[in-house]
Order: sequence, then C-alpha cells, then structure tokens
Amino acid sequence: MAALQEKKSCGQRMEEFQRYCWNPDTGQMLGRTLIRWGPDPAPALPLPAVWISLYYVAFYVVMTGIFALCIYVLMCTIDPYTPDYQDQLKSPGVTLRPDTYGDKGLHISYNVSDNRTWTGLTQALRHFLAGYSPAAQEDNINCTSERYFFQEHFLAPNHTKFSCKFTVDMLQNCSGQPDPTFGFAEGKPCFIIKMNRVN
Amino acid sequence: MLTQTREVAAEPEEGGAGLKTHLPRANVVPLLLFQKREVYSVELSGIKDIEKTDKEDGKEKSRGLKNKCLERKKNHQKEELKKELDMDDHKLSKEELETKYGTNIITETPEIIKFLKQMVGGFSILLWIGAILCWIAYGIQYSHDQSSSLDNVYLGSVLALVVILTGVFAYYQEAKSTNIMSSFQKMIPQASVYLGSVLALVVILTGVFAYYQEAKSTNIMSTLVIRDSEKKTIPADQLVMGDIVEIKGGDQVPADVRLLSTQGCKVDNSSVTGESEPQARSCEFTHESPLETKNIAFFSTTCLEGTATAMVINTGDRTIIGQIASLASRVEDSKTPIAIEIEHFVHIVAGVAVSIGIIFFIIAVSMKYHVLDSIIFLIGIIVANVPEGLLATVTVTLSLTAKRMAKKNCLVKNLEAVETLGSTSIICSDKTGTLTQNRMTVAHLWFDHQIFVADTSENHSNQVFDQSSATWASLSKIITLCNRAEFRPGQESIPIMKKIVVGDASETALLKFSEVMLGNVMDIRKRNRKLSIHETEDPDDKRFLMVMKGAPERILEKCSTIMVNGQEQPLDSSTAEAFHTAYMELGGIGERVLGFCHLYLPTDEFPETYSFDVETMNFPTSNFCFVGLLSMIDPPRSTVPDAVTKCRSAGIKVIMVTGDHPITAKAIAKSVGIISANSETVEDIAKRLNLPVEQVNKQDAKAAVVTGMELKDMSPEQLDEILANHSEIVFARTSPQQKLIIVEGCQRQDAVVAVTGDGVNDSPALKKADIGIAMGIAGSDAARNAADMVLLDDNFASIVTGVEEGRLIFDNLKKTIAYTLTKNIAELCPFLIYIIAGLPLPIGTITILFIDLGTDIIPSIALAYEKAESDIMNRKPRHKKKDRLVNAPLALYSYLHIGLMQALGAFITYFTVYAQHGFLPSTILNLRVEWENDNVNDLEDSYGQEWTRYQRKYLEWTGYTAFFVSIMIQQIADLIIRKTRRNSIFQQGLFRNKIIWVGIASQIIIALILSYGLGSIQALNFTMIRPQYWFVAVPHAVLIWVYDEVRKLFIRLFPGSWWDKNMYY
Repeated sequence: MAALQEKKSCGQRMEEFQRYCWNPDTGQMLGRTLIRWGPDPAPALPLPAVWISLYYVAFYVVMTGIFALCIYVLMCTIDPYTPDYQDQLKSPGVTLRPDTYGDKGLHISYNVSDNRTWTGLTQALRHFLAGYSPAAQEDNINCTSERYFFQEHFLAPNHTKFSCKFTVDMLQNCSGQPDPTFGFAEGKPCFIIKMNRVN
Repeated sequence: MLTQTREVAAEPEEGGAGLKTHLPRANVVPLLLFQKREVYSVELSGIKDIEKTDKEDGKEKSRGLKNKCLERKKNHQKEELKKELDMDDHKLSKEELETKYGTNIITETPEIIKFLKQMVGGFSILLWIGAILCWIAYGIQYSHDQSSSLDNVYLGSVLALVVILTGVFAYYQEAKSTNIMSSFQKMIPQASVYLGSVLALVVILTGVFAYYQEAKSTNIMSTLVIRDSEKKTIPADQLVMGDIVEIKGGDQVPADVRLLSTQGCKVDNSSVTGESEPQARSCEFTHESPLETKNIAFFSTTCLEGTATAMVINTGDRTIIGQIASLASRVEDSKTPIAIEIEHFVHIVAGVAVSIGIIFFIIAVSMKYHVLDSIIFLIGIIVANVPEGLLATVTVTLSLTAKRMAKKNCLVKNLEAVETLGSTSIICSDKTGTLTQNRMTVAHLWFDHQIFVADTSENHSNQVFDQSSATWASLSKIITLCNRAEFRPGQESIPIMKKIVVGDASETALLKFSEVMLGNVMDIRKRNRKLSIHETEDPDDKRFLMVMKGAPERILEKCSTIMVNGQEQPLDSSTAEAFHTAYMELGGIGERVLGFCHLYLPTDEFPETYSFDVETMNFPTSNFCFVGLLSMIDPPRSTVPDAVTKCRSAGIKVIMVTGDHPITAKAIAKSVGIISANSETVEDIAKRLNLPVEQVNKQDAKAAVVTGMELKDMSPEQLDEILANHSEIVFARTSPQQKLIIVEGCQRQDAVVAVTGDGVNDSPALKKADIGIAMGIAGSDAARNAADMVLLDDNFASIVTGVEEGRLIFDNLKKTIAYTLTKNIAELCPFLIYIIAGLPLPIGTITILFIDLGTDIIPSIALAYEKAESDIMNRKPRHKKKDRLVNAPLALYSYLHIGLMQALGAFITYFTVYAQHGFLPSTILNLRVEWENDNVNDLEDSYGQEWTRYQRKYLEWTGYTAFFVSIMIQQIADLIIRKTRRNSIFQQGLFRNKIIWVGIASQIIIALILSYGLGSIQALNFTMIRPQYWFVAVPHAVLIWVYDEVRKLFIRLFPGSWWDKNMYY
C-alpha cells in the first residue's frame, strides 16, 4: 500500500498506467514484451502441442466430412414426393379461420355495432382467402366432384402433380366478394373450417 | 523360586529411551476410555503450572520443556500423593464425582448434519439449483398463464428426488463402521448386492450393534481398594486419585498407580508400549522417564504375576493410556486420496457445466430469447453436464471392492480407504505383533561349542539340529525342569504352538520348545518332583539335580566346569572365549540369550530327606557345570518377507517403527527384508572402514536405524532428510508421539502413508496415517478403532492384496468416469444446437436423466470388475499430486473425441427420424418458435403436410426416444472400448468380464422397456419408435470402437510420443 500513500497527481498516475499498458522504450505491453505475450515462450510451444492442435483440426475436418456424408446418404434415401412415414397424420387436424387466441385457446368475440372489433377478423379471412383467388388458382385444373382424381405421372410444371382448382367464389356468401364484411356487420359472421393438408 | 531370583534381564538398560510422555494434564480432554466405553472430560483443579505446559500441541510439548517438566512432575506427584489423600473424593459416589469433575460428552457431528452434508456436497448443489430454477420458471409461467404445463414442476421434483436419493444412499454408505461391516460380512459372506436388503440390514445391524455396545459397557472391571481401613471391591471406574489399590497376578491395573510395596510383581506393558515382554516392577524410582521407571504401573496393563499395593496417581483421561487415546482422538482425519480425486473431478465437471451454462444463458439472452426460456436452457445444460449417477456408482464400486477384500480377510472400515492402499507409497509398520508373531521362540542353541539353529516358523514343525549329543540330553532336561510356565488345562486337542500358557514370554517359549522336542513336559516334571532342585528320574541315582538358568555371564560366573559331548570339562579360558564369542554373536542378532547350568548334589551331603530352604540358601550356589546357551527371539511371521519384497517391487517403501530395542529391530528388519541383505547403515560402514561415524558419507548408506532418542533431538528438516536419503529405515524405541511425527514426516514428502500396528501406542499414528491398518486378532480395540482397515487374519501379506485391489480400483474408476463423461457431450450438444440453430429439441431433460440414472448405471459398475491390464504390482505407486484420477487427456478424449462422435451419431438418427416423417433438415432449421407455438396447428413440413401441435409433439418425443436409443447404442461401444486404456480389447479378452455383458444387456432391456413398455406414459416423453431407428447409430458405434483401437495401437507403438502424452489417460 506504499504506492497509495505516495502523493502523486492524477495525471502522473494516468501516465504511469499508460506506460504500463504500452512502454515504447522497452516494447513492453502490460508488463510483458510482445513476444512474451505469445504462448509461454520458455518451453517455446512444445512440438507435441503443435502436433495435437493439427491433429484436432484434422479430426474435426474428418468428422464433419463423415457427418456430411451421412446427411447426404440420408437425403438420397428420402423420397422427394412422399414422406416415408405418414402414420402421425392419419387423422388430419382441423383449424378455424379467423383464428384469434385468448388465454384459454381459440377465443373469438366482437361487437357488431363497433366495426373496429371485427375489421381485424375480416382482414385475417381476406388474407387467408388471397391464396384462393382465381388468379392464384390459374394453373390448377378443374376436377369433377364426387370422384377421386388419380394422376399417374408428374405432368405439372417442375415435375409435380396438378392440384384441383378451388376458387373463392365457391364459398358464395362467405367469399368476401358480395359482402366484404363476411357477414360480421349483420351478426352472421362467416367462419371457415380448414382441414390440414396431408399426403 | 531359586531360578527366578537368579534370572537377570539380559537386555541392556537404555538410558532415557522410551516414551517421553510426562503425564501432562490437559485442561479439558475429550477421551474415549477403552475399557469403560464411556466418555469423560475431567476438569483440573490446582496444579496450574503443569497446565501451562499442556496448552501446547501434544507433539511439541515434550520438546525442550521436558527436563523441567519431569522434575516438576516428580515433585508434583509426591505433593499430589500427599495432597490428594486429604481429599474426600473416595467418599463420593460415582455420580457425585462426575458432578465434581464434570462430565463431558464428546460433541460429535450430529447425524442430521452429516446427512445434510451429503445433500449439498458434490453435484448436489448444482442439481438443487436446477430444481429451484425449474420451480421458479413454473412460478413465472403460472403467474402469466394459469394453464401453463406442469413439465417444469415435474422436472424440478425429479431433480430434487435424484439429489435426495443419491444423498440417502451416500449417507448410508458413510454411516458404516467396523462393526456394521464385520457383522454384515458374517451374515452375507457372498458379496451380492441387493440395495434394498443392504439398507434394511444396515438399519437392523445398527440397532443390534448399539444394543451390544450397551450390554458390553455394563461389564466393567472391578478392583480391590482399601477404603475406610477395609478392603472393598469396587468397580474400577469409581477409583479416584489417592486410592490405595491391591493388584495381583492376572489383574488389570485399574489406573496409573505408584507402587508402594511389591512382591515379585511383573507387568505386561504391551498395551502402552506394544512390547509384550514382562517387566519387573518394584518400589524404587529407577528412571527419569515415567515409562521406564519401575515404580509406576499403567492403567490397562496387566499384572502377570506377584502382588503389589499401589496408590492411584492418575485416573481416566489423565492416565498415559488416556493421553494416547486423546492424542488419537485429536488427530484429525484428513481427506482420503480418492476423496480428493473425486472432489477434483467434481470441480472440473461442475466448472464445465456452470461455464457452459452461463455462456449459453448469455448467448440465449442476447439472441432475444425470453429470459424464462433461457433459464430453462440453463437447467437443461446443467442436467446434461452433471453425471447424476456417477457418485453413487463410485460408492457401489468401492463397496464391491471392499467386499472382495473382506473375503481376503482385509476388512475395510472406511470405504474410501479401499483405494488409499493402492496409492500408498510408504508403509510404516510396527514390529511386534505385526511383522513378528509376538511370541518369544527359541531360535538358536549353543552347546558342544557349536551353534544350532532351531525352527522358528509358526508351527515349529521340523527341528533339524543334531540331537544325539549327551549335552543336549542334559540341556533339554534343564530347559524342561527349570521353568515355571504351565499349559492351561483342557487344551489337549490344540497344537502345541497355539496352546495358552500361564507364565512369562521366555518361559513360555522354553516350555513350548521342550514340549515340541521331548513331548509331555508336565509328565517329566511330575516324575522329577520339586522345581529347580530335583530328584532324578533314575531310581538308582538318588542324587538331587540342581538346575539354573539366567543371564549367560551371571550363570558362567557360577560355573567351574562345562559340559562338552556329555563330559564335564574344566572351564578354561579358551572355552570361556568360545562362550563369549557365541554369546556376542547371538546377542548381536538381537536375540535374548539365556545360559543353563546344572549341578548334581552329592547324596552324602544332601540325602533324600534333606530340606532345602531358599531363605537361608543351605545349598551350593557355585561350581555348577555349564551346559549350554539358548537364544530366543520374537520371530517374523513367515509371510512377511515375501510381502515386503512384493511391496518393494511395487515401489512402496517399508519403514519399521517400533518401540523395541534398535538391535532387535534391526535384526528383525534384516530377516524380513526391510533392510536388505547387502545394504549397510552409517554405523556398519564406519565399522567396516574403521572410521568414526562422522566421517562416513551419509549418502553411501542405504539403510538407517534411528532411535527415539536421536529422533527427539531432530528438527523436522533433519527427519525429512533421513526419510528422503535412505530407502531402508528402522525407527526404534519410539513413543506414540514420535510415531506420529514420523508419519507426518512421510506425509511431508508427498507420500501416501499406510501405518500398520496392533497396540494402543500405535493408535495415534494409525489415525494420522492416510490409511491405518490394524491387526484383527492381535490388535487392541484402540488400534482397531483408529484404523481404516483391519487385517482379520493378522497376515501382513494381505496388505499386498489390498495394494493390488486399490490400484485396480483406481484404474477402473478412471474407466468408469471416462465412460460416464463421454455421453455428457451427446446430451449437451442438443441444447446448444437447439439454442443456436433453432431445431426442435432433440432430447428432453427427463430423457437425459433416464440415461444417467437408468441405462448407464449397471455398465459403469461393471467396469469395476475389469481385470488389470498389466502387472499393476510392478509399477510405482501413483504420485498424489501428479497422477490424477481425472486428468486433461481423459477429459479431452472423452468430451472432444468420443463424446463428439456420439453426438454426431445421435444427430444422424435425429435427422433421419425427422426427415422420414416429412421434416427435412433444411426445413427444421430455425423452426423452433413456430414448432413450439401451441396455437399453430397447421405447420407445414417439407412435403406440404400440415401438422397440429399434438402431432408435432409426438414427433418430438419420437425424436427424443430415437436420440436416447442412439446414445445408448453408442454407449455400448464406449463401454467396450473403456475396458482397456492401453491394450487392445482383443488382448484383454472381450468375454473375460462377464459383468460387462450383463451391463450391456441391462442397457438394452431398460431402453426396450422405456420405449415399448412405457410408451404410453406421456410424462416420460417416450414413444414406440420404429425398430430400424435402433440401428442408425450402429455404424457410429463401430467407428468409435475402431477409432479407439487405433488410438491404443499408436500408444503401444509410440510410447512417449506426443500421441501417447495426449491420448493416454
């Protein structure tokens, strides 16, 4: 504590500290020369350390390679069109639109007279139905109802199969075209039940 | 009693040697009284000046102050005797006395504290933090959302349960004692471990033991005391200072007493000095040292013969024995080497866990994760990193070895001591009773100018020396007749050497010797009526035969003739010279020499009716005929030399520390190999080169014999120098305190010190040693209590077994730890990847616990059964500070090589499961937020299929199960590679350790049950996975095996290379 008892000005101290950080006369940094800050120089970085570091690099490169190879092999065995197992999705999930969630799950409430409470809901419906506009469904083909539609070959663009056409107008009153409020304003709101897509 | 009065102790008196205790009185000394098993503390009144000297440490106090103290003490004893007689202590009842002097119950650590210590030690604290964080997390969740899942509560409870169960288990293992262990061992000798029954048994046995102790403590010895001018028999624990007691042959001395009058009194001081040689006691003050002086007898020693009246000068803990006991109880148990190693290991793992946990907590927070989520990550990281089952595994492993050793008659009292013997680098052995048989045995005979060797082995079976000489006939007759020792009746079926004899050690030796040589000594004695002056057997020879034995030079003085080949010849100077040569030779090898002579009394002077009178000596006492010499020694146990050689080759230094004379000690040391045949002491060299001792270069002498006297004047540095410079050391004439100093000296050299001993005087050293080994049969209670290990058959060679087992267990623990640490990386990586890459969680915290505490437990115990890879008895003991249990190569190899490979293998399985169900690796990157959102019920996968939350969760659990199974499969490979550290598995034998396969089977069965048996229990998060997922990681398992074989191959091919240095753990 002798150092603290010596009377020195603040500037002096700062200078000393600066000198400790970098001493231009001796080339010392934080009390050591630059070389001394390298890995402890006395045993001059023993050769085994070099070897083992190189070995670690090589080992990890090889391990990464093996991992990549495994993933590659996995991808090769995967069918690009059908997942190997679909047993989890035997019963497809069903969701509702619009979907707003409260504390205890799906919870929809609005005030008919106050349109601010339901514009968000109609917005959600509109957003959801955007994918079913005639323009978006252009490339899909018309299917006959009440009959399964089988496709043997990948005739659609990008080596895929065709989907059946489903356009918004099929929803009639709930399509949002005759009534952009989806019936919310009259107190007869439209809800769209959607079945999860499974293969 | 003619023979007795003539017998003079052949040993030289050594000035000032022996215990340097000066009967200090401690202020308050907690003491365990061996005889009474009660605990007192006695407060002192008066005698302040002596108290002052005792404030110092027990070891130091005798230095410097000794002389002053002795004088003071002597004076004080006298004063005390007068003063204390005035006291009225003897009138008081025991209770009143206790009130007066104050009772003291040793404040032991309460059991509950010990129990709680188990709950917070080691990893427990980390797991507690984990559990509490879980509950906090739930609390926060609950305050936000009342419907939040109980997962965190479950996890917290499971963690707490794990800690409590491991704690209870460790506590019960800790709560063992010799008695529990030994009765346990008797009841189920086969070392089958059924944990439940073990716990139940322990509880029952503890009860039985307590009851037994209670019953035993009521059996207190009683003593004859003169009070109110009448003799009364009172229990010995009611004695107070100043009581006059009467002691007779066979009694135990009830307290430290000063003898007032004696008649042929001899005591066996073995309980104080460890030497069972009888010592005469009289009323004279003969020596400065209280231990050497003849007018003091010590508490708990036995009066062998004669009677004495004595005054009690010290009672209870103030007795010499009490002081040794309190010295022993004050010596603090240091941590065993294995405890230090395990602590070191816990520090490493906890350090890794905490630092990774905190780093990733910070990363998670800075990646804008919710703090609550970050806490949950932190828990996962801690759980993954802590090998929950390892400490229990280590305990089981140690107790398995303890059982194995108990089968070989090494009873381990303190589980951790199992390993200590393996790291032992110095054994300090007591001589009498440990290295030797503790019974005088005839070793050499000298008659007809020739030295004959007698068999000293344990059963005395083949005596090969020439018995045809007529001198032998005379000598044997003297040996038989001039002896008062007798066999105790009713021992017909017992082998001669094991029969119990009433009489002192030398006479016992002679009796047994003559019984072996001639058979039926008692009959011969009957036929030769009267002791020492005998009628002859020959009916035609009416002469009396007078026989005498004693110190050779005294006997020779009485003789004028010597018998050679059966003929009496005048004793000239040349025969006297031959006698002296033989005497010196036998004495020089540390044997106790006795001379024998006889005289046929002429019939005319001594007719058949002559009445001999010992008082007036109305018979000749000179002009005897010298017949021969006979020398006795306490011979070494036959197994000891071999055991000492084995210890030597195992790099263990064996030091003898004895209370016996240096000459005897050196002789025994030479005969058992503690001093090898060709090494010399400084004194030997001086003698050989005819130089003064000072001029001999001390470095030349391999061996050293140091007496207690020399030791007393030595500084610790000088002692260190001796210990470091000489490989073969004998310490003779040492006191209990000095034994302690020697042990400390050895420990200063960074050695792990084992002390073997049997006497009360060894108990402080036994306690101080890293491992104290007591003799089971010959050992005193004090020694056995202080020891960590008891040799049930007193066989020193069992120590070698212990060393071997200890070294093996150290190696195998390394393997166990390496095995256990490996999977930590495979458990940890999922969390790291989950945080950084946002994958759905690959493995859950509870699933990790099922690996750590389920599948991995039996295999890691199985590694304890692994055989040694090479001859572990040919290498040096491990260095306490350099050869760690968990070293850098072990941790790095386990974590960064095998652990990483395991993690990759498990991730391949994980990606396979997700890809085959529709989520390709590219899709699941950064899917975490949506995946875990409870409100997203139509999450699209790579194929456009939409998944509800529950479907995703089920897939996630399938992923957990597959990841778990993969780790398990790779742990099988890990288990197999851990069988050896250097040798190839094929050198070790894949099937030699059957338990390994039991372990592997258990892993698979547990995994099968978890996956298919408990598939429906959702809390455990297991699902039925498709069978093929079991095999995805198999190539990785094979890779692990091959990789490790290559590692071992390079280690064997290039010893000392950088590979060897970095890859051999």
